[in-house]
Amino acid sequence: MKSTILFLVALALTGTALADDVQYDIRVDGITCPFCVATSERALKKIQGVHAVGSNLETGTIFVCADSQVTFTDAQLKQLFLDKGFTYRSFRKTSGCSIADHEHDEDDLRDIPDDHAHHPNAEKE
Amino acid sequence: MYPYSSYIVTKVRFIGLSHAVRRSVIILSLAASFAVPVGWAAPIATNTALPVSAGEIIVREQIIATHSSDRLAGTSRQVDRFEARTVLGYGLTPKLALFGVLPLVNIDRTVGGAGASDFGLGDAALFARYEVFRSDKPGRTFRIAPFAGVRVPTGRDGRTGDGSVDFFGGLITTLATTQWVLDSQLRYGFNREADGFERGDATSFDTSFQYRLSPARVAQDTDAFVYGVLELSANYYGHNRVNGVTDPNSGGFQLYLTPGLQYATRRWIADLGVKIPIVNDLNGTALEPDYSILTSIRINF
Repeated sequence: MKSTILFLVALALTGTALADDVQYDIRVDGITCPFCVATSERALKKIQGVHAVGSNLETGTIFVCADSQVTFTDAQLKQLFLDKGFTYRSFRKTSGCSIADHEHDEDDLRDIPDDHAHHPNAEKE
Repeated sequence: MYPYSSYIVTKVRFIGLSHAVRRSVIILSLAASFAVPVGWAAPIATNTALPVSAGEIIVREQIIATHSSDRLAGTSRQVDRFEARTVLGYGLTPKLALFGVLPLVNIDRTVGGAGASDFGLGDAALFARYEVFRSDKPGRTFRIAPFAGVRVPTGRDGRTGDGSVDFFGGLITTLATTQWVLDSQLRYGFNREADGFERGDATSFDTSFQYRLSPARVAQDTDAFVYGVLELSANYYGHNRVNGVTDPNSGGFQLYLTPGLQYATRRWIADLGVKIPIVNDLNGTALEPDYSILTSIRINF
């Protein structure tokens, strides 16, 4: 019984942590290859509170999983991608984060499938 | 004083051979170093207009091995040139990138039974590339970037370098999608005189087509692309001048085809290509290249 309660508490805490995460789906034009997108991903990962970054080259979308305190603005993202040599278009913020990997390791970056942008928790800002 | 100082050094080693044979081997073994355009690039043997991010450093280490041989007046001539070229690219601003190129070369020359070798730094190059036009779409971009630079005589005059300060410039266009990339470059090299020797000016047009062979579709866990590469390079060289006199055995036209493969990841790109002359129409007794093997790895920091 005791272990069951502990398990449920742990599960609840985990659920709370995931719910506190947010995901930004950032539309960026002009990125065409893994080598090209790498510098942008690295710049995003350096931002405090960002857990994971992924990309879909076909749709020109970069996914950022971060703490809920992390807030991006159009001006900030426009400048970031301008410095990287690409064109920022827009972003969408959703609660929760479906990027499983929260490691701060470059090697763990993963492309996210197209349908990710329509996950059940998605909500427009 | 002989106008081309180190020519004397090598000339002594080749004593007994005809003047035309000796001279063409020496001068053309140096000319081989400029048959391949300099610079960091997504293609194998030409440049790209794709960006170097502001504050980002890209390092490319390229190995180029060129073999040239023929028989002239019953005498065999052979030049093997091995070059390790270090290219450093830095994004000064999102549009302006600076590049430095430093080659280390080894040249083995054989004429008849006599041989000579030179090893050392080649002539370094510095150039800037500025993006003047960009059109970005999802997974697609088109860019135009002119470039200009200078080649400085860091090599040994007449042996691993030609002693002069030369200038070059041109225009690069790149049309890239996630499936394929097309780079084109028009380049003009204005070569100046040093110690009585002036290499002829060089005009080149290069185009490179890179097609993604793998994966067939970009999907989850796609971390790398394999490209098949096909490049075409047309080069026209003016006559060299020695002590103000035009050398009839210099200059001419060459057309190269370079098939190759490239593996591109998020952090590094490796490539391998073979540069084959389709048209070798150099003037007089000029020694013509048989092939070049090019391989490189580039890393972004």
